[in-house]
Amino acid sequence: MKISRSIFLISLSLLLSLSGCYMSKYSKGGILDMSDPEYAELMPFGEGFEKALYKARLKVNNHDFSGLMMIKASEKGNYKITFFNEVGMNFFDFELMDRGDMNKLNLYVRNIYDPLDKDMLLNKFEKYFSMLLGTGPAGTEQKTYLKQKGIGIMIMMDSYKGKDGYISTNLVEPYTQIVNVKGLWKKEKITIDLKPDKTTHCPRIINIKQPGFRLEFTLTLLE
Amino acid sequence: MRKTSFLIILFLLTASLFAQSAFRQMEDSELFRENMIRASENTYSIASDFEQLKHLSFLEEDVTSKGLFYFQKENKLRWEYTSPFFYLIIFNNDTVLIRDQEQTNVYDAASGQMFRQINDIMLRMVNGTILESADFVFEYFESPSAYRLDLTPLDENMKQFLTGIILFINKIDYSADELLMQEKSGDFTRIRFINKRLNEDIPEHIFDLP
Repeated sequence: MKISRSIFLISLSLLLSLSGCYMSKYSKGGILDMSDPEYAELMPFGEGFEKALYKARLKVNNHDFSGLMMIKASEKGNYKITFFNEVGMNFFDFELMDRGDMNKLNLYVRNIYDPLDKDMLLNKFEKYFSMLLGTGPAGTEQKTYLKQKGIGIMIMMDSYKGKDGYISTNLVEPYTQIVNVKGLWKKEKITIDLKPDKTTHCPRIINIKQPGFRLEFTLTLLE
Repeated sequence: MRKTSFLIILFLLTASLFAQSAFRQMEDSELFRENMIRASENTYSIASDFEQLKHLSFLEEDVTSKGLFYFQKENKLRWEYTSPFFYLIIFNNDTVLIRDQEQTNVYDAASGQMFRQINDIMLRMVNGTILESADFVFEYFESPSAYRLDLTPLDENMKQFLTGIILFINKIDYSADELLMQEKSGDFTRIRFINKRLNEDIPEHIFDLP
């Protein structure tokens, strides 16, 4: 009994210290009613988004995949994504479909280059694209946190995996960062840095990092 | 506007179907092989612009890019993409250099399977040795204006990303006018060589590796 209680306390303190590390930069900001449809416009891929072509570089476990990625909105919050190298060879075709789970888009693989066909990696892609293209925190009441240094507000929402934090400077301009916190292990922490652009309805630069998995994914808008 | 686009697409499709149907089985493929090998032996360099079209079947979209292509005998290639992004690939003997706006990487060509095989195809295509390759099944066709070679890969690794290659060969100088790479996903990449110059002096330094 004592041993199990000790394990529980150690796990809890580890959990709090890991998530607390990030959250210590923020203080509580209260509850925000996000039912106004305008809050949906803060998402990286806004209402008018149709398609975008990005220069893409994926670094994972010391492997480097470079090429172009096209993201295309299909219907009812679903998306199609294709990643191929510069000479045209296909790395993957994904379809992301909204099944109504908490900030989750289900990833379906239509085609994939063998070296990338790993369940763990596909789960990662599903999470990243859900954070970027999912419904986000709009539509209901959410907890907010204020940056202690500088200007910024983080809207924290429950997701199918931990909590997703959407960070904006003023709740008018689109989100500049998305994080996934509350993972038990440090390697599970995800940070997505964004350079938003309202004129294109999609970010100019997307930089996804998950250092614990030695993974970095950078997308730069071409057209 | 929509009506005009539809008519243009219909016209292109009809033209494409007509162009394809104009090809028939080559009568004397042996003579063609001899002529192509002889022409390749007499070609020590190729400089050309190129236009690349990648068809994304899953997204029903096309992505086009443009650039410059250089070949120097025996086995030096330079692919320089200039639009809509900068990307440079240099094959110099057994070494591959890849440079984009951010970084430069130099690899042993054998290390990247996909690049090694594409390197092989490109080199064999321009130096004529592709006809001697045991990695493909060949079918020979011709029309009044061009030759066409259909290559079906036999190598299992290559089959992972390519189901077929179609080469359109110029009837006058036996150089490649167009290359079509077909993938198992249904995608294809079409590369058209434009403004080709054969046996032009190419500065040696453009194949230099750092």
